[in-house]
Amino acid sequence: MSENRIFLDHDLLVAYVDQELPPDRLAAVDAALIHDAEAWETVRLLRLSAKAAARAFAPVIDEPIPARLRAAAGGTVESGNFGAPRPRMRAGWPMALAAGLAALAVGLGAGYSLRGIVGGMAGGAYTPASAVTADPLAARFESALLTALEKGVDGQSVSYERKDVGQGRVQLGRAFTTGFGSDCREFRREETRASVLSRADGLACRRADKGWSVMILPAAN
Amino acid sequence: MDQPFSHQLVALLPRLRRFARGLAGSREAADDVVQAACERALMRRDQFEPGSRLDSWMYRIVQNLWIDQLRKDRRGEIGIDPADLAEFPGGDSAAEAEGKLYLAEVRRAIARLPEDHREVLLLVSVEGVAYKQAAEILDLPIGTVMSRLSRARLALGHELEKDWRQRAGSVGTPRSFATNTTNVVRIKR
Repeated sequence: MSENRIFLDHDLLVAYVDQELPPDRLAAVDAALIHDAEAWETVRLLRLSAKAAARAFAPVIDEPIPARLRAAAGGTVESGNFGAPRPRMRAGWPMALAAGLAALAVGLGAGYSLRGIVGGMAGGAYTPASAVTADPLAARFESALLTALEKGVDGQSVSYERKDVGQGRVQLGRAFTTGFGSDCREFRREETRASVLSRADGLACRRADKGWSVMILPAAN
Repeated sequence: MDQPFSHQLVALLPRLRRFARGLAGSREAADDVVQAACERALMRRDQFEPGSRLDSWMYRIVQNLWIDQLRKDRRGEIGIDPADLAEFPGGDSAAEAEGKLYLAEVRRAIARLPEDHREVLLLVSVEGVAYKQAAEILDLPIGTVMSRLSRARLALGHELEKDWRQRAGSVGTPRSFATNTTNVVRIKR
């Protein structure tokens, strides 16, 4: 084995620590490290710094996403802002946010863009938070969405309908963790009002109070 | 499943914010960069190659915008949020306070690294990106990624050991040095 000795430079050692080496080289480094205290010390520092860096920034992942970023990523800025010069980084965001929110509202029609749904399924009868709003189909949608979220599995859909107003369908997508929260689901809404079909995609994340924060994006088609 | 582009972008926001925080230091400056990156991505959506990695494409846009910003800003400073300590979870026991301070120290030490070393460190060791992907994002040969990474990691490791030893000499006053530490770091270029 002695002829297999390799020179343990720092680049090789960092790849060793990060498990980026193919198995044969990994074994060679393992063997060489036994005889090399200095290289071991380097390995220790390379490990320590990786762990420290990861831990130092880990909390950022769980921070709530600022509304201006959701609006910017939601594909809503382009509609009003295309030809205009891109706003300067610091000064520009309130304008972009306003444009984004306006476009969201237009895309939704019914007007629930970013809101919370609080409510329970007590006795099987769900009373949506917006029961008092003037849009009865929106209330049906919220009720259907909540049912899907509480009981649903991937791909399952829940239909809703309001006589003389329209009908729709909510279909759940993946469950995952995002900066909005740890228990999030994608969903797609297809709704027909006055024979006009509209599609929207959304994200619902469980809140600490067991309600859901819901965001709806106009679909890209 | 082909999800809408903007939907995928929204899902990437937590990671993009974390990467930008490491680059820019303060929350405000980092979110400015991420917002500009999202706007640029949506404007240039047709330039994104379907089937390639959206996360790589977005990391690259964030990094490019940050470098542009640095060039414009002649001071070449990044601000570390004084509020950063509050970001770390944990209560107020002495041990937890000590842990928080340590993590804030780590952020400062990372902020002092040369820009081109720091971006590699953040991508690989914080974002968990593979060497090959990091090389593609930064448009560098993989050997350069490895050498910058090893130098960044060793410099950080030595720095943290040094801090740690100094701190061991001043046990009992873990809070005092948080208030004394400078909140602006000059970037080496």
